[in-house]
Amino acid sequence: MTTRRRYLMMWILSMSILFSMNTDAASTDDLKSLLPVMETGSDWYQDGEPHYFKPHNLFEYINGSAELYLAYDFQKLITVTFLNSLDQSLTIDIYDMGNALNAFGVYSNFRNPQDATVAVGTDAIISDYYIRLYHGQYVVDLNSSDSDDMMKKLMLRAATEIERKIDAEKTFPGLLRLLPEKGVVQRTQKYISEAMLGHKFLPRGLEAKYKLGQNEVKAFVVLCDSFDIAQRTMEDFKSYISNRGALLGDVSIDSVSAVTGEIPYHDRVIFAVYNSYLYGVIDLPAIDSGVPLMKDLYRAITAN
Amino acid sequence: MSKIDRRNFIRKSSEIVAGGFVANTLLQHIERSEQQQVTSKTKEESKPVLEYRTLGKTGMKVTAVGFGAMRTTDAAVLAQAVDLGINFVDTAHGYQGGNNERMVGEVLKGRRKDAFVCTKLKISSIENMKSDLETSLKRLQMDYVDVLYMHAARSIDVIQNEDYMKLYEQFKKEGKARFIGFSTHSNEATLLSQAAKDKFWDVILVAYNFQREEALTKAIKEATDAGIGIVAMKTQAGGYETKEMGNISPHQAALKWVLQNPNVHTTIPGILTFDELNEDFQVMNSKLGWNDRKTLYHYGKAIKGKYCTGCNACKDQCPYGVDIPELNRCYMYYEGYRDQEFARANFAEIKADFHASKCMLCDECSVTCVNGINLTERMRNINKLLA
Repeated sequence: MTTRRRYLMMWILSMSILFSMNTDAASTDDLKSLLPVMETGSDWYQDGEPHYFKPHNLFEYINGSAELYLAYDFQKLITVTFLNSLDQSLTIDIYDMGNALNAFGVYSNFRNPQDATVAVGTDAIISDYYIRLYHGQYVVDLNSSDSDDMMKKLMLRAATEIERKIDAEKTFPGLLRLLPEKGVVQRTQKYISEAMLGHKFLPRGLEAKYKLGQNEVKAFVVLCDSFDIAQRTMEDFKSYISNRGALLGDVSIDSVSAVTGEIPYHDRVIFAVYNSYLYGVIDLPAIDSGVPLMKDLYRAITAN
Repeated sequence: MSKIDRRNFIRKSSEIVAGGFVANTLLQHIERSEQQQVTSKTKEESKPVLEYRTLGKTGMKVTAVGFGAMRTTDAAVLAQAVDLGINFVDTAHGYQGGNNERMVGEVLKGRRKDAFVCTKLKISSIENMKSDLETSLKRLQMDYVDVLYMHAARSIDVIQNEDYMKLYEQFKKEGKARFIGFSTHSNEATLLSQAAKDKFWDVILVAYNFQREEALTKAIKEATDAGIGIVAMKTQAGGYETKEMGNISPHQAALKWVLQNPNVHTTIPGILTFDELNEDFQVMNSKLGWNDRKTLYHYGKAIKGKYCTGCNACKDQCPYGVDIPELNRCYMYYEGYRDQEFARANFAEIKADFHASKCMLCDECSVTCVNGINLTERMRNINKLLA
């Protein structure tokens, strides 16, 4: 190797080391910059430095709950606690999920149709002691020690400030448009990152509950990488139903051929493939009752 | 729930779940039961395959494999587990913001007695914990839980805290918790030994797997001797996929390894899919065999010298005061998890007096790692990488 080439190699190596160090610093600075600042002269002060957690040690902070975040490709977390002279505390956790879809995915597992909501972030739930919001690629938890009005106001102010600092639109991931809006039980839309309906062969996808008369059913859209994979996935699903439940034959819905069956724990099911999507409805009291929703699903999928 | 009747479901699922021998046994048993017109289906259907153990002084007959619900997103997986006879379900107040407890509640609605239910409360103020238990019971649609844990106890101070002890005793008296305990992910051996002496807590949920140190196994024995019920979590020792092993998963072998210890009364592997349920279910009543040992041996070999179990056996052993456990932890972050930033941050917190710079003066480390880590090399590396 010539001396010149050796210098060049050393320069490239040094630059890459420097670059990686800068990336490391930036990776935590970006989270720190999202933290709210307490008003000067207020009774509140920050309890030490913020702490950071990464995938390998998230367990140390939130124990078994870490499993869910890790399933959604959790990147990093910053946590900080503010205290006041009355021994009250406000703890803020900001989870960076890497992208908005994963952030929504985790958040969607936490929300519930009965939750009280508050207008902060893209979506947020509130109780006496906490606000949990999702905005951009972040999921933010604010937990207070007390439930008085002052604490609630403080939580809301902090949440609003974090939302302002996150550079993101207040819009849900575009993929959610694959689920029709008509008849949906609000706040039941979920993004599942792995094993939909409890099956490894149904990788990731979307689901939501719908009201059909007195019944609640679940619509799902499995996101496959290609039409061929979607077809194979459908065959796997058929094979599972055939082994564990019963296939009831194919039906044509607006010229799309759909499979019907009876599936353990989920009553009757209809499903079909369009492009790389395997979509369907489960928990049906009767196959016929699911046809209108299948049509809505098809329309929503083909429109996007 | 399905219109497919339960007998047919068990027939179909057992064909898949339990494999040939087990399925046939199960089916024969179902058919025999029908001939005998036995009405108690659960007992009859599950008897041949399920393995029960007694959870210490609680007297609860629990299945050796329980159900960790923390990852479960489809209630059907849990429903099938309960139908198959798995009778120990673990959740927590904080999992999925309460949706996890709601799911458990929905599945066990109308069949409360089919499973023992355990939940955990985050350690906070007494008032918050009281209110959290009320919320949990409401979500679970239950009047009581079978085991109520303090979630993630880390120190003796916590498990001996009189306020918490009084509170949990009160929960018991009020009938909201049949038995009480704590879960622990760190400092486990110390906490278990102390709990064995204190004889206050009924059940301990502890991280235990084939990579854990002998001291923990001994502490589990002490706790069991004191009548404490032992539930093992993190039975899979974290991640499994290693390049050296190809596609072989030591999943079942790891679970068998935990269950070969008679002092472990049940386990709660986290279950997401039907496949995982099947895999875990089959472990009951099976022994740790030659192939399992081979699998664990290969896995152990693949990670040997890399995996610090955090046993602390090397603590305070260096005559020059080098803080080997802490430095090792930093190295794990740096090398094992490729997180240089976190490694540096942790290294910065260690006082210079305890740094590995002193290791450059020694020819060979006088401290021996019980897990075979070459400490001389390791400490010198740390000095180069982080000092």
